[in-house]
Amino acid sequence: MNLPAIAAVASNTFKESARNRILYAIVGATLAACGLGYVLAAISAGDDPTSMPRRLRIIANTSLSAISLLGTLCAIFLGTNLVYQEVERKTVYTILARPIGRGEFIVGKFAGLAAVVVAAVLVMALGFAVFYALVGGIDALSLKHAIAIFYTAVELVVVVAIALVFSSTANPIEGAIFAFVLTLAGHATKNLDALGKEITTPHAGVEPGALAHVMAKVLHAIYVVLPNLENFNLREQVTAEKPLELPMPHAEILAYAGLYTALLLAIAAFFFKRKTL
Amino acid sequence: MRFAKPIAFLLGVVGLFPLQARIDERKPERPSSLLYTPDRRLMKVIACGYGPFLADLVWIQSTGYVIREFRSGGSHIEHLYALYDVITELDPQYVDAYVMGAVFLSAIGNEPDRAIELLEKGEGRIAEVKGEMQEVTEGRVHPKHKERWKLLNETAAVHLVTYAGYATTLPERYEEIRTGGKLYLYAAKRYPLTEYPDAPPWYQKMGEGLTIRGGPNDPYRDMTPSQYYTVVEQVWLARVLVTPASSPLLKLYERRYAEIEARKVYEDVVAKMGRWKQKHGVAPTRFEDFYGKVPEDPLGVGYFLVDGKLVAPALDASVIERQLARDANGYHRANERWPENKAALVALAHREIPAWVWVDYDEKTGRVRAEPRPALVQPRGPK
Repeated sequence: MNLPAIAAVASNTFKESARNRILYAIVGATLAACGLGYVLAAISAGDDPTSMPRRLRIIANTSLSAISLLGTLCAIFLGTNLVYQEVERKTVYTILARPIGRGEFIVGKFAGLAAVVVAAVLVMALGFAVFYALVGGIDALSLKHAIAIFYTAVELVVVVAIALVFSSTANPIEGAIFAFVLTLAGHATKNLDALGKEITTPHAGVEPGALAHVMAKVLHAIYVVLPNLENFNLREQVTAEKPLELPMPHAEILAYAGLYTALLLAIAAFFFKRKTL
Repeated sequence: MRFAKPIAFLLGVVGLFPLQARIDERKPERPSSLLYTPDRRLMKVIACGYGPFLADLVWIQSTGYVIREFRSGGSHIEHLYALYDVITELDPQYVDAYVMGAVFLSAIGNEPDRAIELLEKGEGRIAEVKGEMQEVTEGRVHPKHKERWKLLNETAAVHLVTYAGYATTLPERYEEIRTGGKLYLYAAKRYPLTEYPDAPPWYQKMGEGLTIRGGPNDPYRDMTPSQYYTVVEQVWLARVLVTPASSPLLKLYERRYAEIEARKVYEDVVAKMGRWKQKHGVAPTRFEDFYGKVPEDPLGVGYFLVDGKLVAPALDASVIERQLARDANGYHRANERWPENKAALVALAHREIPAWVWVDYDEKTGRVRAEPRPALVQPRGPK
């Protein structure tokens, strides 16, 4: 691993992506969504003096969802262009002419864009904090909000890796569509596992057959192999009336993010190495 | 080491399985997204003309939510009223949503007052004016809606099944039965079969039976319990029959149906006991003396004779559980917190908990459970 070369690619990617107008548009839209949450909270709660928790919940819901959703769009739009643009502009030739492998190039690109996305999340989180504190006071903000935003950032890093896979295999439009679909699916994979459990549950005393059990196993395998982005979703825990239950399996969630990202980068590198330049 | 990289990749994929299993095992259950259903006024704003579509989406979610909560065994379902309030706000003509919401509120959520509130939102308030039932406020469901009768049908059911089931004294129970009967009589007039062909044809007959025979001045007073239980049994049987076998609600319905069966046996035994006592001047001490055999309890726990009185621990536990759950929910609604302990909860119920009923109360969640303890049924002995 040529770490200085990776750092150089990452640094350039960071600078280049940070100048992208899409990034500013999305960060701006997220901040506007945080403001919208403030307005919605005011509309929904009216003058009810007992409505403070509800107002805060609406602001937190709207803002955290916007950070996640618009952050995902940001990661996908920037990520799917990342490798493709370098190839189109032929700048990749000058980079690969240097002592850097294609795999290292991918890792550098990923690191640079992941840093941009994390920085964008920080800006968006600041916007959320301002609107939240405007309603509930600074004391209303707590560690649980920070944890939820942290995991949103981790989720977006995984989404960057997903986008990078498609960036090295497809054109930006196709890549963005595929990445978006996979990301959406990543929030619904639990249903596959639940479906597997449902079809193996006896109904009205009738025991399900062997095929149902095989199907359940296949569904479970798909559930595990597809990205499970719900692992990083602690947003509802933040706004729930139930407090965030700690300790969470933090180590496992972070290990999952690390392992899944590594696998995605391996796939991206695999395709990029076979790309005819 | 040609295969080192593919093997490492495969190991990585395999590693996802134990990792995901550990996360699933340890990550706290996600609270349902329904807990954050926004205020209904807000929903109207954001629906942008797609109210019925949104109502369907919330409806789909809500059924899963209620079933999950029901499976978890809670006696209180958070935001249940708000949920159906939102659905019916998005689509005011969604009759099934009013009815299903009321069934869930009264049968699972132990909130019959809110069930009535929801039904009144659809059909308007029906109250007795100058001795006759009348619509005193206007409902949201169109007066000509072909399924509107279902709302009144369920309102009568809440009085007959839920309120009458909670009643601790006979006059209170009669009052609820009479109200149910009057609603049936009103339904017979309001929803004639010529205009509402799906409405049940028995409203008039059933209403007459319940109102004429149900009151304290009724010459056939001793007939009322069995008549009442027949009606209640019909209500539950109808629910059992329309519920799919795979539905977790079926067990609840079957349980309530069995309770009514048990109550019928109970009333029968009490009636025979009374006749025997009248004849012999003393209370019987054995079932064989007046019943011929030990009565069989459809709830599987059994009946006992204690100090000359009939005791049914399973029936007592069921009624007490529902009464306490209703009181806990009412207290929570009024005070935004649960009663602080079991003693405070029992004090709300204004009734004594017999030794053969064990009550478990979680002051954090408001969950109430009552179980029969037949082993604790003992004669109190002479005072």
